[in-house]
Amino acid sequence: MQKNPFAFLEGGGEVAALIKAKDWSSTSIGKIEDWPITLRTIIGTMLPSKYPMFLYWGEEYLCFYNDAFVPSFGAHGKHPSALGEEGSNCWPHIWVEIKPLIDHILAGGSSTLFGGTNIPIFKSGKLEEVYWTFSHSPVRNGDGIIEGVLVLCSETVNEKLTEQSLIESINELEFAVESAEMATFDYDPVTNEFVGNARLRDWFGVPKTGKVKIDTALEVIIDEDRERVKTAIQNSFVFENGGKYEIEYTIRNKETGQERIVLAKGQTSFDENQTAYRFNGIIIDLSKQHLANRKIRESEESFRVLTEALPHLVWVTDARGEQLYVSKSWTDYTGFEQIDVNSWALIAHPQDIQDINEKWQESLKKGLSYKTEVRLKDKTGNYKWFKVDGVPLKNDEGKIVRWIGAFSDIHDQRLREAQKDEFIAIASHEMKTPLTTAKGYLELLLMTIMPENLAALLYADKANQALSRLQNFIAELLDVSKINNGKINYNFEKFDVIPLVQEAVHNAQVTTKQHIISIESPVEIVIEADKLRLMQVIVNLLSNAVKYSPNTASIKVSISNNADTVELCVADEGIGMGKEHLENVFSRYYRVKEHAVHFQGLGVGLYISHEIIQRHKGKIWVESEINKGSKFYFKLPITQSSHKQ
Amino acid sequence: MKEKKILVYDDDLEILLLCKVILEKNGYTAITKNRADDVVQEVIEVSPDIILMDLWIPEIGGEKAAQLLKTTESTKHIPLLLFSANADIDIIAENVGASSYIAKPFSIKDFLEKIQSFL
Repeated sequence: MQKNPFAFLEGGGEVAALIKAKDWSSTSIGKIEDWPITLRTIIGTMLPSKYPMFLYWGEEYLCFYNDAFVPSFGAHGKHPSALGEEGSNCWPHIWVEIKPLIDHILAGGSSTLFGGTNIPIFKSGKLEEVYWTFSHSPVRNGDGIIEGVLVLCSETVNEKLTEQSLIESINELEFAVESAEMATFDYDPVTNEFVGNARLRDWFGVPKTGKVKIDTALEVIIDEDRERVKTAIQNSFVFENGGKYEIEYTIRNKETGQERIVLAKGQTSFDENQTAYRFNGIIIDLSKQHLANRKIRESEESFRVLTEALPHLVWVTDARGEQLYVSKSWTDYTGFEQIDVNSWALIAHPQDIQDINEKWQESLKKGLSYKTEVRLKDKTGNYKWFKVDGVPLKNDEGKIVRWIGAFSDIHDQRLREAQKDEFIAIASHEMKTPLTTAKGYLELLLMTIMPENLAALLYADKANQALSRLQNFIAELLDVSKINNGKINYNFEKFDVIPLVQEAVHNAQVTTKQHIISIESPVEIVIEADKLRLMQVIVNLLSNAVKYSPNTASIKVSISNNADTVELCVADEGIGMGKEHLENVFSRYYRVKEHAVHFQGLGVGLYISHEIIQRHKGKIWVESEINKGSKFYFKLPITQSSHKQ
Repeated sequence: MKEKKILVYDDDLEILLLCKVILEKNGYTAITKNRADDVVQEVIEVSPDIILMDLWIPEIGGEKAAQLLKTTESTKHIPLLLFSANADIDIIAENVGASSYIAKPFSIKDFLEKIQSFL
């Protein structure tokens, strides 16, 4: 009858070949030649399709599928044995789930589309979870009778995963919302009702479930804020405003009375008519932050009040020395709101500015506290003396983050000191007058004593020595008062320092029989210095060495030099002193307490020496150990080029 | 030979007396004054060989007195030595045009040598 019963299989690929090769005679549909036209047509349509298709045919639900469906069975799955198999044999594990779907269609039900259905199939030798999207539709013959069910299907493993990750994202979001302690709301602008998460409901004290009227929530907002929030919500519903909502307000829970300062942020969604249809967002509790901020503000305020209550001019800079803060007292005094290079040049006294700048730069560089004295000009143009103390503030890693400091008004103190120095100057001058008379008459007396009157000569000589010591004290006192007024004049000249040291050593040696003073030095060192003042320093160091080594003999003086500097050391083996004194011995009137009782002196010798060495741009220091002796050093530049007077 | 006349200005009477003793013991005539109110006139009248001038002499002070004497034609040729305990006497002496200075306290030897050097 038919010219070629297999014509419908043409172009049908592997499955077509299998159909052609299979012996169908023992099946309910019989040989291919006997297959109804509908079956041939639908199979002929399915086979070449690139879309996976499956067909259940007849009362036995015989299975047909195309090449595109084959991969769904997997490499070692039921293909090709499934071809022409009864449905219950083809999908034994899931047949109970599939059969109703097919029966529904066979019974004339409407076509169905299932997405994301998990139907495990035998794939690659084992059962695998595969997610499918199925379309089931009837296959009718020419008379409209349903004879089979066509299934268009696709695996949706990847899509399913995406969906799963979406769910995970949502979970994460919920977790984030939870951990961030956020309240969330979803508001319907049409009904003016909203839903919120548990936290929001808790904060606002509204029912735990169900929709909430906006008015109920507004009630919870404190009176001062309520209208503002209402307006903000209404404004966010106006399309032109962009739908953004952000507002801070305070709520008071009606039951617990607890207040929270909250920040609400939301976004309104608009439909094509620019009508708001959804408004959702989050609310954060800022109470803790506010509390912390308030504490910081209070602490800052206390700092400000403190700095303004103090007479000190307080400043704070960053690590590089850039100003962050000056107290009002600074502004009140100087008339400047800033300390910068320009204002500083106008405020600091021209004679002090170089010194203070150098010290500040050194402190910044070394991270050491900053101390000096400076004259600062007030608004009216008058200078006053200030002491400045600055300290670095360090973070946990020890890195400097701030400098904080204060200028303290020491003007009156300086004036009093000046008065005292003036008094010392006058007093020492006045003391010199009777001293002059006493020395003069004593000398006259010595001239008149007969050479054989040894006792009288001895007494007069003793008196004369005592007067000489008194004369030295007076000279020292005068030096101190002059140092404070900056009135010591220096006469720099070039000379060989070695003979000077030798002379000083010689003069010291004649005052003591107990000590042996040795010198170690190069042949010649020409330096530029004030000869008499330098002599004064060396004499002071030597007399200290003698004085503070009452039980030992050796005193060593050593001098060394290089191209730029000369260094002198006076080392004794005497009583020495503790570390705590080493810095202070050069301060004015400082005396090592334990020594004061046993050793005479004003305690100004080293202070004067320190001043003299400093004015030579040199350095003086001491190394000492109790009962081992002291080593006093000074180091001077060879020339004083910038110091000519 | 006529004794050399030394005119000494000092506000302190003890110093004046000491100077008088030292100078007269060594063959000088000492004229002592504890004020310098009319210094130029006095110097003209006394016509000393050397003037010793204390810095703290009332009423005008030693510096002023020295300047007056050194700018007055009839007195400026007389050697004038500042005579003071002031530590900056060297500088002041130079500033006021004094011939030299004697710092207090002094040793008799230095005192006499200094005076001798200007005679």
